[in-house]
Amino acid sequence: MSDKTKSLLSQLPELKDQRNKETIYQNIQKKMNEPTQSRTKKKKKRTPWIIPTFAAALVILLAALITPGLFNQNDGPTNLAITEQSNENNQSADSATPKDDSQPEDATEAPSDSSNDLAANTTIVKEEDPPLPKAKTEFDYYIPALQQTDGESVVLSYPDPESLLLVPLTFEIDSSKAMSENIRDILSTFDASQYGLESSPLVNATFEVVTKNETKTLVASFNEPGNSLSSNESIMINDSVQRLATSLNADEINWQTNGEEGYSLGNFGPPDTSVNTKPSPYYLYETSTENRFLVEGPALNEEGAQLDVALSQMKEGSPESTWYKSAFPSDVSIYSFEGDGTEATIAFTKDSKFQSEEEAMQTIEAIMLAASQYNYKTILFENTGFDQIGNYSLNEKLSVPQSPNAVQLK
Amino acid sequence: MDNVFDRLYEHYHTNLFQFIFYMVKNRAVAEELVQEVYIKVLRSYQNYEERSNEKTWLLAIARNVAIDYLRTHNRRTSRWLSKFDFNKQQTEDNAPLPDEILVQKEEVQGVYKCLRECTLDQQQVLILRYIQELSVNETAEILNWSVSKVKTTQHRAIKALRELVDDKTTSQLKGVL
Repeated sequence: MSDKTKSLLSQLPELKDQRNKETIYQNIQKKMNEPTQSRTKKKKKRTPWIIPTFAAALVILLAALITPGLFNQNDGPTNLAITEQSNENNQSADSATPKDDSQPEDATEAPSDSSNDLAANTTIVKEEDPPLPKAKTEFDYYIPALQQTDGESVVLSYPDPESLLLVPLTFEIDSSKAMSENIRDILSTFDASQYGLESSPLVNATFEVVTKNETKTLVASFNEPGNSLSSNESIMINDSVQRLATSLNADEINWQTNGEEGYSLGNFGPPDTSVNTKPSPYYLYETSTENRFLVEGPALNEEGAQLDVALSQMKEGSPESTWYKSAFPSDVSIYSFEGDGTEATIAFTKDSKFQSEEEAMQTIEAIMLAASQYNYKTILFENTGFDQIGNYSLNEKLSVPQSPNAVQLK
Repeated sequence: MDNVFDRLYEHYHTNLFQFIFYMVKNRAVAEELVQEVYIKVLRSYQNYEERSNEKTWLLAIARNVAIDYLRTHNRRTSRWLSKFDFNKQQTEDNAPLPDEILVQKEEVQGVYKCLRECTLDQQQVLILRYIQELSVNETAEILNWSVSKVKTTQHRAIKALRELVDDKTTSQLKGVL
């Protein structure tokens, strides 16, 4: 009997590649050249920032040297004191950069003391350069989240080119239009390729929000039946609709085909009408255009898992699913987490060090967005090494953002 | 055209394509993956030491590429499935049988269908030993296993495949009766 099985195996036919040698070689050449092109692009993109960075640093340095001289040209003995103060000013003006290692440890452990110093030292800076009120924070690569104060929004998801994940993008809506109209406009006009993403799996659907008997329902109507969808397409559609429903605070989803009740997601059959509220850890995803987005990883399956479990998973990253990068830099760790009702305090270890404001922003927003799924409303961060990042004043409790990756509809 | 590619293609392309195809059981994926193998090979060819047989070296790379694909693909599917609370049923594998298989007698088609139900380790051994007709030593070299592990896995694989084929035949008979 074994011999028969072996013989049958040997009878399996020889399968031939139907392409010719030249076609295969051309494909290989094309693929082999791709990484080189992207490396070149990377360099090109980064280079223009070098000169402005040096120029800005030079201007700050010159300003720090010239300003005291202008006011105290004839006052020899005080020059020294003013120069010292100007150095301090220089530090406080650049409060968004990590603190100097040479500072006493107390500076990070006792934020109140350092904030007093800061208040005394920033007077001149404030007079010369008042902070811009609530300007949107922008970074070179990371797309920050939308704040609670920014008005109503909607989240639409866009897959990466390999359909490994969905990137949730937040759009502010035009309140003069109905939500259905806003969603339709975004789906038809937003060009996801500018961020290295594919078009939304929901382009062939319309959406409406209906509230009846205090139940908010997202009505998703697809132009075509979904019976022949592949498993991946089904999952992309399901997760995009679920994410949209969450962003609209919908209680349930009504799936329709051409306005008729019912929809089928390929082999999965009829989708769930309830809105999935399982918390998920947040990770970082970098697109081919070098934009960095926060994305939700697989939902935590551990029963009753709390935020600390999610945070530890976020720190570790996902070694199996390498497309999910940890939003925590390798030399940043959480020392303690304390949750009390809707407030949480998260302290980083003393030796944690963010390399840039952008890096810190990614981490704290990832933490806050994860925390918001556990109904935390405010988070106090300790030992970040920063007093201010964008509009976040890190000496105070921060309100959790509304939703990740706020992009503009262009 | 690169001389290395030209030579490798002439000597080994059919083997590489066939091995990858039987691993992933999808022609389009196999076409992509075989290109990936060449890219890896061309990038690292200068490091190739003639200690090992060129064919087993290439098949070892092909095996890694195929395994990487299968693991990622399976993880992706299970990852997404974990998000689906509503319908736990597994998706059917609807990949059509290739023409080359369709023209074979039913028993051979049955073996092809049952092959995909064996474990990944078993499939690798069966493909290398009986479809690629490699020796136990060559198979061990490609899989980076001991010879005894190849023999044990081969024994279990044949047994598992035979049982799967038998089960399928029995259930078909039940259907007729």
